[in-house]
Formats: sequence, C-alpha cells, structure tokens
Amino acid sequence: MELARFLEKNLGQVERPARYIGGEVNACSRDPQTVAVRWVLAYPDLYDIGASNLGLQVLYETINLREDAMAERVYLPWHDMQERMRAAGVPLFSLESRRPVADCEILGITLQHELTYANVIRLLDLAGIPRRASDRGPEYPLVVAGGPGCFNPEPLADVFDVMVVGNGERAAGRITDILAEGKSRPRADLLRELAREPGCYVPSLYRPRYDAAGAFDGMRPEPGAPERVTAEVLGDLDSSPLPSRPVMPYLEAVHDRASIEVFRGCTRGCRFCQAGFTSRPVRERGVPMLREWARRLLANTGYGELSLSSLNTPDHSAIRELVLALREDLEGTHTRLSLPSLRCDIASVELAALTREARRSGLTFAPEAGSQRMRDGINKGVREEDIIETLEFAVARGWKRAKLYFMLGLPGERDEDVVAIAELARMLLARPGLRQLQLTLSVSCFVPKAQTPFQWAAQASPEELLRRQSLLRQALPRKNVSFNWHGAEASYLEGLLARGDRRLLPVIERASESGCFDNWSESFDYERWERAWQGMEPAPAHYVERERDPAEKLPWEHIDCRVAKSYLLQEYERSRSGAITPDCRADACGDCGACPGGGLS
Amino acid sequence: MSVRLEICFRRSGDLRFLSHLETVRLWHRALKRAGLPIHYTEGFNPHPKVVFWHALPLGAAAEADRIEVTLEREVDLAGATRALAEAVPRGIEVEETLYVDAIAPRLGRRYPFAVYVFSGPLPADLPVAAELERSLARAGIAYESAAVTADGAKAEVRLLLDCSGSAPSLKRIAAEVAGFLGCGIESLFIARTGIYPVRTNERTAH
Repeated sequence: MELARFLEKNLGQVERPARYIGGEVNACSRDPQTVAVRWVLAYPDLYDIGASNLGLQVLYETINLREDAMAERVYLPWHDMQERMRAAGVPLFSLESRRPVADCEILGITLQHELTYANVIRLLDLAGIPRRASDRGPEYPLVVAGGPGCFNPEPLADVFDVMVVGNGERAAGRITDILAEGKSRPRADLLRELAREPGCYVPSLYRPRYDAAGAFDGMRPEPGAPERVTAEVLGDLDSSPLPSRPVMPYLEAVHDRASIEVFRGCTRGCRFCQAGFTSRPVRERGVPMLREWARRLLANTGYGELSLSSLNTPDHSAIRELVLALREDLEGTHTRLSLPSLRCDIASVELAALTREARRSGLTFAPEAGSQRMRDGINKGVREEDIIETLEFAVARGWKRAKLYFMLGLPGERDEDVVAIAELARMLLARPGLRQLQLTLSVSCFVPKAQTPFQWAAQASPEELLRRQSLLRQALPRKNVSFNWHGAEASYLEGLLARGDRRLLPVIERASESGCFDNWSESFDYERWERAWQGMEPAPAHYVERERDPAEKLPWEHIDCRVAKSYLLQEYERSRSGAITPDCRADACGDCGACPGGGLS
Repeated sequence: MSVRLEICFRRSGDLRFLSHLETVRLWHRALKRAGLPIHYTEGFNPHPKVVFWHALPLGAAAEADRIEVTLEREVDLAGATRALAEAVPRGIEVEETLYVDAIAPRLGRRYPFAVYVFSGPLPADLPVAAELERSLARAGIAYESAAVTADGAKAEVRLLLDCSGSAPSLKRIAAEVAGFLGCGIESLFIARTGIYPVRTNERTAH
C-alpha cells in the first residue's frame, strides 16, 4: 500500500500517533534528492525513549549542518503499528521525508542498552534490510552502530558494516566524507578504508577463533585491519559543536527538558560502571560556553526545564559558579534548573538547594550497597555517616522525599550484605532528624560489563537473585519505606548480551522473531529467550555465571578503551580486598592509561 | 497590566492526530519560543495561562480555531502574529491575533457555537436530511441545524451545535452520521470549520 494512504487510514487507529507523524519543530525538512549522503539515525526503541537521546541529537544536528549530507530519524514502531505495517506491506520509513529506510545511504543505529538488541533485528526486518552484513549487497545502506554497546560489539558484530567505538562525532563525519566521495565504489573497498579510520571497527575484517572446548580463543584481523580498535575520545569539548536545535517531540518523551552536557568522563572509579572506564579522561566545558549553549537551547526549544547532564554533575570544577550564573540567566524566564545526578554529600544537596528545582521533587542518591564492605569493594567511596549526614542536611532544608539506589548480586556479596540494605533503611528511619522523610529504595541487580574491573566477575543466576531479593524483602521495615524491584531475569539476559560473543546472534534473531521491546516490562517474556537459547553451545551460564580467568581471552579485547587491562585487573583485585582507589583528580594519578599524553586531540 | 490575547489558527494535516494534551504542550512551547511575555499562573507549579476551546477528537481537523493566552503586557499584534507563525510546527497556521477586553466572558462563552463537518463516502442512495434529523433526535443529540450535501463521490453532513453547556459528544454524533451514510465510523473525516459567537451561520443554511 502507498505510504500516504496507509498513514491516512491507520494513524487514527494506533496508540499515540504522534510517534509517527514527524515534522516536529527543529526537524530537518530537506529534500533527500539534493544531498549525496542520506543518513537515517535509528534508536531501536519506542519514539518516547529514543527522542530524548542526546548522542543522536548531536549527530543529527552535526550531519544536517553539511551541504552534502542530511540526517533523518526512525524509531521502532510500537507493536500495534508494526502489525499494521506488516499487514499492509509498508516498510519502515523515516520520519522526515517518509522514504523507506532501506533507500538511505547510511543507517546509523545506536546501541544504548542490551535489552534493545532484539529490537535492532526487528528494525532491520521491518525496513526490509537483510540482517547480516554479509547478506547485503551494495543496493542496501551501510549499517553503522554507535553507543556504549560497541564497547563489546561482538553479539551484534555480524549485523553491522561498521561499529563506531567511543565519541562518534568525528567518525560520523569521516564516514560521510568517504561515502560522499565514492558511493559507487565496491563495498569491500569502502570497508577497508573505513577500517583505517580512528574508532571505526569493521567486524567483517575480524574472525573469531574458538578452541576445541568451545571457549573464545581470540580474534584474527585480516591483513590491513588494525590489531586493535581504539575508542575515539574528543579532547577539547569547547571546540566541538553544541547542538542547540533539538527536535521537539509532540508527546512527552522520557526527558522532557533541555539538556546541556557539562562534561564527559568521570574518574571516581566505581568499579561496576562502564561509562566511568570507557569515557576517561574528564573533559569539561567552560562556564561561558555552557551559558551561551543554555541560552540558545532554551530560545530554540521553549522548554521549561534546563538539566545539567554528565556522569556526575556536582564534580564539574566550577559547578557552583555555573549554577549561580545560570540561575541569574534564567531569572524571570519560568525555566527550572535541574541536576539529574547527585553525590551523597552535603555539597551536592547545597547545590541542589541553589536550583529552582529545589525541594519540589525528592532527592536521589546511589549508595549502591548496604554494607561498608560492599561499598568499598565497588569503590563507591560513600560511608554510612555520609548518607546520614546528607539526608539529615536535606531534611533540615525542607526535603521530604529521598530515593536510594542499591544493587543486589555485587561480586563477593554475602547474605549479611543483602540484609545490610534493610538495616541501613531501618537505621535511617530511626534517626530523630529523619522522621519526616519518605524513603524509597530502588533495588536492581548487578550486571558485570565489558571494559570494567568486573568484566571477569561471575553474575548470579536468576534463582539466586530471587532468593536474595526475598531475603531482603523479609528484612525490610514495614513502615515509611517503599520499594522498587528490578527483574532478575531481565538482568540475566542483559548480562548474557553484555559479555557475549558472535555466537549469540542466532539467539537474538530467534528471540526477535517472537517479540521485541524487552526493556518494557509488559513486553518482556523470559520464556521467549529461554526458548531462543535452548540447545545453544556453550550455554548462557558459560557467559554469565562463570568467574573468568584473567588469562582467558575476552571477546572484546580487540576494542581498546584506553584504560589498560592490567589496571582493570588490579582494580578487580583491590575490590576483593576492599581497597579504595581515590579519584585521580583529587589524588595521585593511578596510571590507568587513559591519558598517556598522546592520542587525545 | 496583563492583557488577554486571542489567537486564531488552522490545524490540519497530520497534526490532526495529536491528542488534546499534546496540543496543549505544543502551544505552551510555541508561545515560549515566540518570545511573548506570557503570564504564568502563581503557585507551586507555575504554567502559562492558556485557554483552549473544547477538545477535538483524534484525527479531526480545525479550520478556524481559537485559543486565548494572558500576556503580562501589550505587544505589537502584527509582530506577535509573525512570531507565533514562525514558532508553530508545520500543520498549524496562525491567522491573526487580537486583544480581548478584560471584562469579556471567557473563550467558550464568547464562542458558544461551532460547525462540525462529517464527510464520508457518498452512498448510492443518499437519504434526505430529515432522516438524519430524526435519528439525531431519537439518540437525544441536541443540535441547532443540520445540512446534508453531496459533492462528487463524497457526502457531507454539517451540524451547527450549541456547545455552551458542555463539550459535544462527537463520538455519538459520528456514530449516528455513519449510520445515516451507511459507512463505518472510521471512514468519516471530521472537521470543525469554525466557532461562532451567535447562532446564525449562513453556511449551514443551504
């Protein structure tokens, strides 16, 4: 069916048609005929989630500033729309020009979360694009990945022509240049050239080896392909573009606000945190630039809230100056200032009190573990007295609600560490200064990630996590506390995809054939995945539940995030002895390898 | 001294598929982008003071709609119209802006009447308008006047409704119109062609 007629007939029948109509304020409206390279940037989840992604907004604006290229968007349509498109034989179309996604030159898909991997396959199926790079001829777009999923690219490696590791701004520009110069060149030639670009991993030029027992035994690059692909890190953020015309969703997306990125990287060194180890070193933007960015962004969007985003915003070296300056700039504009991430200390609460957001919403902190032993093991650097002091300070200043994040299943966790979460909550509620406090505990399950000190660690099975959850549940106080739980089964799947290799693709494909939207609780169906991996060799437990030997080859070791393997291993050993590693900005350099002087540009 | 500004606009194309809540969001953002000195409500959660006419069902077009916004001070009307026209997304056309006297009744009272047009496929045998009037009466649907016309392959039912009491129940009306035309309710296209201060409306007369 012709697309216009399809939309006319179906937009009124699907849930939230605003997801599919396009033409939002600040969306690109160029004619694809006038450019050499048309990108479609895809977030493989619902519009409501994807529209808030800052990384794609940066790429969208950067590409659309070019004369010779343009970028459009696509998201995975919700179940109801997918069914209607399939029934009518309508292929996935871009929101801007409403042309088939399969007709573009480059399809860029961001890998933000493992539970969207089945969505990636679903998206390609809907677009009518063959799933594997080796099955695609030159008539199909170059399919490129970006985002944190590329730090272990292997589970989806056979899908992509190129996977961009690290900051993607420059690589996206180079890929565009190379394609604009020679669209009609043989694909193999293009890929060989792309493989020489910094941060560009071309999976088809690497062959995995497995030993007789089925264990991964290293990656063999083809002649001309680099031994290792080093993550791109933009050295100077002040000279990188500031996207200030983000597309304005009609519906309320997950982050319904303007956002400025105050810095990249974090050197606090929490051992479970992938972003903390893959985005080093810390690179800040200066206060004048951030003010100017905020001014432009608010004028172009009309948002009523400005958020200061980063991995740990209170760590910006001039954060107080920045907040005070922005507060002045926003005076009389009916725009609230918000800080999404707070450290568990008084300085962070003081900072929050300076923003207009103050006290309207509760405060959120992440002690991550209940016992000091566990918090030291993950290098969280938060002591019990910090939590007490911070909450008492907040309550004395008028806050009434606080949310605390914890993880179950951290390496080395014992039953007493699980119960310690409940004991911490009980102790807090018993303090005279915290009587007024409404406490929420949010408890998720730890998932070891590639490129972190815990990449060798065993992950607990869903059964074991469920046992610990019920242990905690029984120990929790009954009054003045509410709890959120995160699914143990979804975390297990996340863990499998996070540290898997290329042999997982058939599993992901099978699972995608019977469902998608695994990160939506109403769509997640663990049995579907159990069926998909039935008979798989090696079994999921091989990837998830096994403590890996430091001598073992890891499927993502050809991806170099600059932090030395020896440093990660040293951190893993320190975690076992509960040794704290201080932040290198406040203390001595830990020699992690992220800033060897060279490499940064 | 705050002033009341009435904005006249059309909403067509795919923006018909926005929900009322999404439409409200769209206007809040557009007013802010246009740089108008919007008056915000006092209190815990200040928001722009914008008054909308009765909500349209999803998929319905508005050919001459109006909203009212309170500004903190007077602005140049031509400039405001231009700024708003630039600030709204494609699919909304801002036609004019005008001031409303401080003591004038609220938007819904100033424009209590509306014409809704339902178009659907022309049946082989178009019944006379009186039949529609009978079925509307049977269903207990109040209306001021009704007209049925045929144009090419399309039949059009125009209804003038008094909406001063409450929002018209367009779902029920559409069901009656669909029954009258002998088509499915999903093949009806609904448009509000105008809102009016008085009952007289020439276009429904013929």
